[in-house]
Amino acid sequence: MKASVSRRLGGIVQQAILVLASLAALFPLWFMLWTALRTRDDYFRSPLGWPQGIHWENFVTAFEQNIGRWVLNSAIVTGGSVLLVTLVSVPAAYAFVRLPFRGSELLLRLFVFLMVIPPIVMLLPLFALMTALGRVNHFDAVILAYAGLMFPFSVFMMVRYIEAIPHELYEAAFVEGATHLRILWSIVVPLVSPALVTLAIVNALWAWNELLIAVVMLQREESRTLQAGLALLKGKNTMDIPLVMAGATISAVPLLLLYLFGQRVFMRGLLAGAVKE
Amino acid sequence: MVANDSGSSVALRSPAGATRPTSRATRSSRPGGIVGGNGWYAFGFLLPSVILIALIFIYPVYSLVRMSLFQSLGSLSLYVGFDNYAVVLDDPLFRASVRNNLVLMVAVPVMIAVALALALLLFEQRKSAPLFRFILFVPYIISITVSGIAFSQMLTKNGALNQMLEAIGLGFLRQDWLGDPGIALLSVGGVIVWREAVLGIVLFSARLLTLPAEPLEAAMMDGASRWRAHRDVTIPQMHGIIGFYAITSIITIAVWTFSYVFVMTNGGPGNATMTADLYIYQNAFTVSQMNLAAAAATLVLLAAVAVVLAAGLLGRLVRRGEPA
Amino acid sequence: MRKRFGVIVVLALLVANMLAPFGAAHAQDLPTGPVNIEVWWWGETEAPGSEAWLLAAQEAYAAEHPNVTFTNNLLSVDALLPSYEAAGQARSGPTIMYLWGGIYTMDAVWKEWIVPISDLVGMDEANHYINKEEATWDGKVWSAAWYLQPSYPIVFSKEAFTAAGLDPENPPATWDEFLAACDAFQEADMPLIGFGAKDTWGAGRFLLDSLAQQVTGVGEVLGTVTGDTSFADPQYVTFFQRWQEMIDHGCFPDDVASLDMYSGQQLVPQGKAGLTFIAGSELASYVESIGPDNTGLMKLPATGDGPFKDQLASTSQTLAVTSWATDDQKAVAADFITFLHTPEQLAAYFAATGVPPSDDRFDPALIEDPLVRQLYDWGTENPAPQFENFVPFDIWFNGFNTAQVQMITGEITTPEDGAAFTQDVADKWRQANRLLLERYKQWAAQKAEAGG
Repeated sequence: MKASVSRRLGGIVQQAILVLASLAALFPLWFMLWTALRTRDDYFRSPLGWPQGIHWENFVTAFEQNIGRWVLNSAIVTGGSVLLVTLVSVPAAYAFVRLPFRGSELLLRLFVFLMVIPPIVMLLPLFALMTALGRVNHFDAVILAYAGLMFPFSVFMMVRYIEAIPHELYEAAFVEGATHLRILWSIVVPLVSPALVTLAIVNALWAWNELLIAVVMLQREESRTLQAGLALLKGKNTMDIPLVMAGATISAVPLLLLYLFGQRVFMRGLLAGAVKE
Repeated sequence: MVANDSGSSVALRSPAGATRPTSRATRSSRPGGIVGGNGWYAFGFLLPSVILIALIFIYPVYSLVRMSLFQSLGSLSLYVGFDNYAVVLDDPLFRASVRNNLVLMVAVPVMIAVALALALLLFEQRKSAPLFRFILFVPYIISITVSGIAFSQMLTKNGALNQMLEAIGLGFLRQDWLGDPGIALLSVGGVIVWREAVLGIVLFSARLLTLPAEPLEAAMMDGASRWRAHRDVTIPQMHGIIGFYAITSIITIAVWTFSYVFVMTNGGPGNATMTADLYIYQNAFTVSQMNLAAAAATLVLLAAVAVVLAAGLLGRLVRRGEPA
Repeated sequence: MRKRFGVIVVLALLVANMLAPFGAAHAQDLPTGPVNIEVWWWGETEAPGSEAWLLAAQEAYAAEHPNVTFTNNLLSVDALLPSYEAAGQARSGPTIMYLWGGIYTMDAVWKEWIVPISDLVGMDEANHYINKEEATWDGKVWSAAWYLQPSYPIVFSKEAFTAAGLDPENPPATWDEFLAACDAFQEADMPLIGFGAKDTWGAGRFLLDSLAQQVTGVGEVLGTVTGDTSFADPQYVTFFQRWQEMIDHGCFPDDVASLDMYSGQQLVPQGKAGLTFIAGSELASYVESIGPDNTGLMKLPATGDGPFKDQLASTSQTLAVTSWATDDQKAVAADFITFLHTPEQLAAYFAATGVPPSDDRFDPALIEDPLVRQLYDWGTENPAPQFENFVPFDIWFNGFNTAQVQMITGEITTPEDGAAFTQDVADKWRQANRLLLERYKQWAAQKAEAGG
């Protein structure tokens, strides 16, 4: 009897802690929305107070500052780099698993080791390289850089998944005389397609949120990614916090929507992504 | 699944060991005659990745080191040997930024504690867990840029956080969160915890679900309270995944803090929140000392490699001590 | 490879220089094919209305020259230098780049980012640019003055002065009175100075004003930069001494470290501070937001006894044509810049922004606001040099300004330590920039020759 009371009490305390943690997790999101709906003066008067009327026009102004364009750019850069790294890493992983050669293990080890090199180290020479190639301000420069930086993790993950494919599945195909290209395409890819989705999510999350390379490589107003545009929007409108918050709110929406409707897939991606950082 | 595997942590960083059995099996089953053809396939399949790696990693590292040995102005270049390194190592600002990175490491145990506590709570409150889990993961869905912008406003001296503290009678906790150089770095650390702890929750939750139930129940039969049982039974079983999370967090804080400080403080006030990656960025692009930045970046590269090697060694030791 | 390319560029520049007189004449024969001019700039924050004017001017120009199109990239102050650095290395991006004077223009010259505007438009035209000395190197003018920036006047709120028990018609005229005003404002529970240190930028405003009153001239400052003298010398320590006195007298808001520069300045129109240092170009918008009858204008009282102790400094924000632009782009860009200096466009700029353009063909009689007129006279009648533009950004920002902020936050506790901190940064700068240092010495020699 006593034990059950204390357990129930314990349960309530636990729930309370989770509620508090949830509030902490959501507070910045709420703060952005709360601030985005008011005027500058209203915000300066009291940042937390009740808004003096709802002002949607901040969102309109934010959109006028190119945010729509930046979302599109981010989508291009993210989509392009995820596609590229998938196309490069899957055949490579297949080769490491099914076509080993002298030194292939060492090569794989090297590839995976590159995972730990921080982007800031690559930034200056990559920038110099893209400069020399005349690709600064072009999406292909960023797509290539992102794909390169995502590659070590991608190949590492695909090796693990392709390894897990039962050996027997290849046998029949070999007997039929299928080429490796054919086996890769019609046996391996379908089998690892869930893993490909997961990989794509991990990589897309990283690319979508990347700031450092985007800030440096995409200088033009209309070629910026969402993160870079937003960071600079903040610098440009230090006086108009509600406008900046409207921009921030808009930029949070695409991923939040994806998360809302694809939570399961997302969760799997996060788990795999945990290995990455 | 994946998280379960990653429970054995650092093994992930040397996957070649795992590759061996499979590849050997493959090799033996293959008719000898088509080895030449296989060679061409391997070449074709690997060529794009080798090009990519050469372009994005190998050449840049070479050119970075080269850049660090010169001083340039427009098209003029002057070879200076290791002088740029001497300047960087002697620069109080570089030292301060490295020190700040080290101070930020205090966030790692906090992240582990927070993530572990919340993961255990989610584990205990199984009924409401899906809802809470859904909410608690939100910080990870919002980009660092977005949340950094929000936090930089919330944490001003007359900002939302202090106003809220006043409102609930905790006014004595008011701080100039990002303006006081003694606190600003810790505030940044707090925001890092706010976001990066999510990763720990994800990892730990997944691991918890795969643990066998019997040891825990047995411990509770012996009269241990639930929390005690978790402490004595559950947590020791999670050493591997905790170690893995600790290492990834250390790497995050050592070299991936740019987005946080760039958006929230830009290194200020004074230089109180300058970190190594921001130091490199500012030298390269704000005060146009590209060669100095290259020297600093090379040093960071060396440090990162050293940390990883050390962590790999540590991980091997941890795994050895872990009960099977 | 790069080096050889550089040699070719230098050769090309030499040839271009020899052909310069022809080049100027050639400007008449503008290309007829499609030309796009890309303008990278900053300045809307300190001269609000500039963007609207620029777009209108481009429209008017394009109406006369239908083959010309414009794209604009308005940058934030944090992004300006990094963007230029990136563009300069990439040798692509802007056709016209906005530059601050002095070292900021010289940096672009020495890195071969820009071509001399006086070669493109002719010296007769360039002679009309106010403060062209700041953009002069090797006897050529490299960047075209756009708008005038008397630096840095102080605006104050008369109501706030009255509330603090001070006479709004007689603002502090000596340094002691200035500090006494801080005390009076503190009594009234308000900071005298609307200032924010979070982004470090704002500290430079007091620095320029006060430094201009301590030093004897550009030569002295260039000499300290190149290492002949030290930033730990008395005149610089005196500057930090004055700064410390302001901190001790509570001149700043209590959340000074949480506010960035612009938020700090805005405290005055919001009625939360007495005065603030502004860029000269901001005056018109402050008169509007503080109220025409409520705004007062003053200079910082003398903090030292150098020859410029009663003068404001003055600079011009400028537009330059980039070296990587095609010949067609260069010709059109130069023609467009000349178009911006026609009397109609000068007047239109003033009408759009309330900021006087930096060209002696502008008629100051158009200035109706007495405060703006007053400031225009301060900025054009024998002003002090803009010393800020002769100190490398690294030393100015990471040395002086950062030391100032650290004095506010208590990390640096004495004026001597502040000066020593700056000197350390200067030492580092000299070691890390040997080639630039050589240029600096040449620049100092050219300045000495020109008698400035």
